Amino acid sequence: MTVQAQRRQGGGYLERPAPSGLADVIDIILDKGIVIDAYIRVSLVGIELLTIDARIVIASVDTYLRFAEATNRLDLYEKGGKDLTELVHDMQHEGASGKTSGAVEGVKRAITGGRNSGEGERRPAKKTASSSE
Amino acid sequence: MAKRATAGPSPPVEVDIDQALFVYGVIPAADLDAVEGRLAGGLTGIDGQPVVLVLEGELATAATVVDLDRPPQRRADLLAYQAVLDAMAAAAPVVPVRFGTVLPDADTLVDELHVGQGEQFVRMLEGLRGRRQFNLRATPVEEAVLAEIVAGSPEVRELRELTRDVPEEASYRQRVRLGELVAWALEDRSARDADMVLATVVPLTVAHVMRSPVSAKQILDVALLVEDSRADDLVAELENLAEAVHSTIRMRLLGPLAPYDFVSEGSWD
Repeated sequence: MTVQAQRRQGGGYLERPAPSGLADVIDIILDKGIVIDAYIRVSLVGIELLTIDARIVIASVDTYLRFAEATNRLDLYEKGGKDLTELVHDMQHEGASGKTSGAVEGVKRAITGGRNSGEGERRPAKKTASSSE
Repeated sequence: MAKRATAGPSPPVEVDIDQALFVYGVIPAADLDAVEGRLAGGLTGIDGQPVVLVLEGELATAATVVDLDRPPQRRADLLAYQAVLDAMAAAAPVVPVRFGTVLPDADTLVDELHVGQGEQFVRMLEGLRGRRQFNLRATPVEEAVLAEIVAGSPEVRELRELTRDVPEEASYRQRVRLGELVAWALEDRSARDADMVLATVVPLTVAHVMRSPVSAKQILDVALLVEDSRADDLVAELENLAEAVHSTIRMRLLGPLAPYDFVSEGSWD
């Protein structure tokens, strides 16, 4: 990755890559820019780009299982920094709110095929062409 | 090399029957020289074609000749399109035209863009002068945030212990529940962090557009329209913020770019 070389001033924690990778370019330009009246648009591209756009949204159960797996993989005790006890203390200090209400219903929904509209727009990202995976 | 072209009685842009004009973007005619100067460094468009600036009235439109039966070179096409537009944006306000827009010839181009939508372009270009886009993306450092979630929720801790060394089939329900709780906690966390980052950034911008929604895996994906005179301030602020939160948030800034996200009617004001 070119991130290292692109870092500038300050502590260098802000990544500033030159947008030369395909994923970045697609993300920057796809479906952007002004659209001219459709009848004069002769698409050179269309089909191929649509395939990029068609990343399938994983069903929520699979998403949840992945998060569970990631959580289980955490090795909290071998971290150089805080161990679990300290973290718990910190969190209680911050008064972080564990969101547990509705969890049981959530399981039912998840097992029967995902969360319904009761959760509004709070669902896993559908953003395509991102580099997050 | 940029070639100046007018669409008058003797159009100098030769477009054969099996060719067309691939359109990049529209600039004010008054900025033609500045843009030509910027493109003169050898920057070419798709297929290595020289960029043609079709001038008519108050506007000039950048285009290149493309063969309609050309072999696919999609990656290079996307890169060329962006390179041309970003270079133009460094010299003048520009309204990007959506990738893939192709017109049969210069006369049609003038009819459709300069005549048909001329006023709209002029108005947009006025609003874009001296401003460029940055794309800011903030994502959670998953391991660190997960650790905090485990620490902050007794129920998550319990489920984690129940499922950790148990085969997946034997702990399926608990696993789904654990993942769900974690996903919700991540989403809550992303939403809070998004507000925090936006509060820092928005005062330094003219406008912003959310490019994709907040989610468990994404805090923020936002396009920022920024005065050129404030771009350094923005970068400095984001550097400071990125340093302050780096243990839990990864921040990535692209730009300055052409204003790709700020050319739909009503998307910002």
